[in-house]
Amino acid sequence: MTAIALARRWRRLDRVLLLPLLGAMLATAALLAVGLGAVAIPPDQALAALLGREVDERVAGIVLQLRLPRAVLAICAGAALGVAGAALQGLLRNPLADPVLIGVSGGAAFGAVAAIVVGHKLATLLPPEALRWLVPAAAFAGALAAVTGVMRLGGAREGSGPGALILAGIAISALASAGIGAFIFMADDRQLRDFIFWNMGSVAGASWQGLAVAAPLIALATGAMLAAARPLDAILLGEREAGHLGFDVPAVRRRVIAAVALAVGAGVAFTGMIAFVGLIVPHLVRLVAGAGHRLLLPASALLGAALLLLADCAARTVVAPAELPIGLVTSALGTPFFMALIVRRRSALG
Amino acid sequence: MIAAQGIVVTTGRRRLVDVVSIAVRPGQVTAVLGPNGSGKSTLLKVLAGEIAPSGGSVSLDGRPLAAWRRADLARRRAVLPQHGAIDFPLTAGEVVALGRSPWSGRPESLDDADAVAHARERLDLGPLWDQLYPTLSGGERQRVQLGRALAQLWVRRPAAPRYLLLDEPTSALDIAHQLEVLALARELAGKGIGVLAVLHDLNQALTAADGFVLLARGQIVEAGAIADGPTAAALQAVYHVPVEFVRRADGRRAALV
Repeated sequence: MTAIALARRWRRLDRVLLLPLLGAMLATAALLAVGLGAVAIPPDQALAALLGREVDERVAGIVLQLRLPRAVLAICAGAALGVAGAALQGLLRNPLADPVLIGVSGGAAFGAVAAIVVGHKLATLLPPEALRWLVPAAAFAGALAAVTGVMRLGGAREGSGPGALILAGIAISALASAGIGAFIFMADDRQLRDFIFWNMGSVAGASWQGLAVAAPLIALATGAMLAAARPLDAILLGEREAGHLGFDVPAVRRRVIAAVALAVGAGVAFTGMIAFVGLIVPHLVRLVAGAGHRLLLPASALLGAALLLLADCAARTVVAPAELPIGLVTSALGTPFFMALIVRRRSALG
Repeated sequence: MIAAQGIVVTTGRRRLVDVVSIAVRPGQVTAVLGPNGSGKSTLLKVLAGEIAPSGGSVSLDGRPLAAWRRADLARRRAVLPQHGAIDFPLTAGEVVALGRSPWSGRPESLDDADAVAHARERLDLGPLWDQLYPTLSGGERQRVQLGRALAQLWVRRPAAPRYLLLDEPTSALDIAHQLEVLALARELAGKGIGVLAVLHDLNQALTAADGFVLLARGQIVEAGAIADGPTAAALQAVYHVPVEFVRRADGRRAALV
C-alpha cells in the first residue's frame, strides 16, 4: 500500500484526537523513562516524585536529578528535530528533506570537533565550569554559522527556489567535513573517541543548567515555526503560487530556516548527532494528519519527543549496564524506514 | 485596469519581451496568442508582478505593481500558473481552500466557507473533493487549481475591480471541460472581473475573448478586438501556415488551419 493510499484511509480518523493522543503517548513514555534503569522505580512512585509529593529521598534524587533532566533533554531534542523536519520538508517542498540538507549538522559537527580538539589545549586556562560549555557552545555556533552561509549562498533571493538552497547546503556541508577532517587529523586518540561518540549522539550529558539554555531556544524556534503554518501550507502549492496568494516567500524562507537552525542547533549542541528523527517523524504524522501544517507541526513535535524518549529507553536498557549511543538506535530504526519510503515513493508518484 | 506600458524583459542577450503594451480591462476577456517561445508566459509573469521588467511599467488600477502590498494584491487578483506538482498528501478540497489564504484574519474570512462551496459547485469538484491532489489526473488538477483561484477572488459584495490571470488554463482538459472553462471565463467577465488568458488554441480565443494580443518573438504583431482580428495575414506571418475563417451562427469567427 502506498503512503498516499494509507493517508486516505486514515485521514478520517478524527484529527481532533491526534494531539491529545500524542500527548498521552509522550506522558507515558516519560513515566517509563524516569522509571527505567539500574534502580527500577514504579510509575506511581515516579509520578509522586515528579509531582513533588513525599517519596523516598533516594527515589526523588534519582528521578529529579538524574533521570528527569535526561528525559527532558530527549523531549526537547526530539521535539526540535520533529518540528524542524516537518517545517523544512514543507518549505523545500521535498518530503525527503532533513535538517542535514541545510548544513546544520555539518556545522555543528565542525564546531564540536574543533572544541574537543582545541578545548584540550585550553584545559589549563579555563575554569572547569566553562570547559563543560565549550562543546555545546561551539556546536551551536557552528550550526548557526553554517546555515548563515547556506542562506547567503543559495537562500533569500526572490525566485531562487529550493534547489539553490539545497546545493548551497551540500557545498557548506562539504566545507564543514573538510574542516572536520583537518581536526580529526590533529586529534589524539581520546579526542577522536570523544568526537566519534558525539557523532553518534547521547542524552546522557543532560543537566538542568544545559536545559535552561536549550529549552527556551527550542521553545522560541518551535513557536516561530508554528506561526509559519499558513504560509507553509501555501508553499506546498509552489513558491510562485504562495507569492500570488499574498505571502512573502523569501521572508518566510528566512524565518523558517533561522528557526530550524536555532531549534536543531540548540538540541544537537547538547545531544550530539541524532539522525533520521527529523526525516521520519513528519512522514508518520502525515499518514494520519495529512499535509496541513497547523496539525502537522505540533504533532511532529510531540511524536519526535516521544520517539526520542523511547529510543533513549532502548539505548539504556538493551545492553545494560552499558549504554548504546542514541543516534545508533535512531539510525538503526530509521534507515529501513527511509529505504521503504524511497521504494514507495518510486511506485506511488513515479 | 491592469496596464502594462513598453514592457521589456531580457535574459542575457535575448529579449524575451520586446516593448509590449497591454491592458486587462475589468469585464473583458483578453487572450494572449502566439507560438511557443513568443514571450506569452513571460508577459503573464510581468503582469502578475512575479518578475520585474527591465524596461517599462505595470500598474493595477493606476498604482504601480511594486507599490502594492502582496496581501492587498492577492485580494484583487488571482494568478493561475501552469500548474506545478505537489508531492504532499493535500486533498483537492484543501487546495481549493488555500485560495482563501489572503483573506485570513479579515472580516471577509467569514465568507470562506461560502467561497469554497461556490468554487466546488461551479467547477463540479464534488467527486474529487476528498481525493489527494497527487493522485489526480492533469485535467483534474487544472480544474482544482482553477477552483482555488475562484475561491480566492470570491467576494460577497464586489467593490473594487478584480482580475484573473490564466496561463494556458485549458491545456490538459478534454473538450467538454475546455468549453466549461471558457464559459467560466466569460461568466467572470460578466461579473466585472478582468480576465487575461494565455491560450494556445486560436479557436478558444475566437470563442471566448473580447480582445487579443498576438505575439511573436517577444513583440506584438497584432492586437485589438476579437471581431477584427487576428487577421489571416498576421496569423500566416506568425505561424507560417495558411488560415481561413468561417462565420459561426453566433456571429463569431472560427479558424480553419
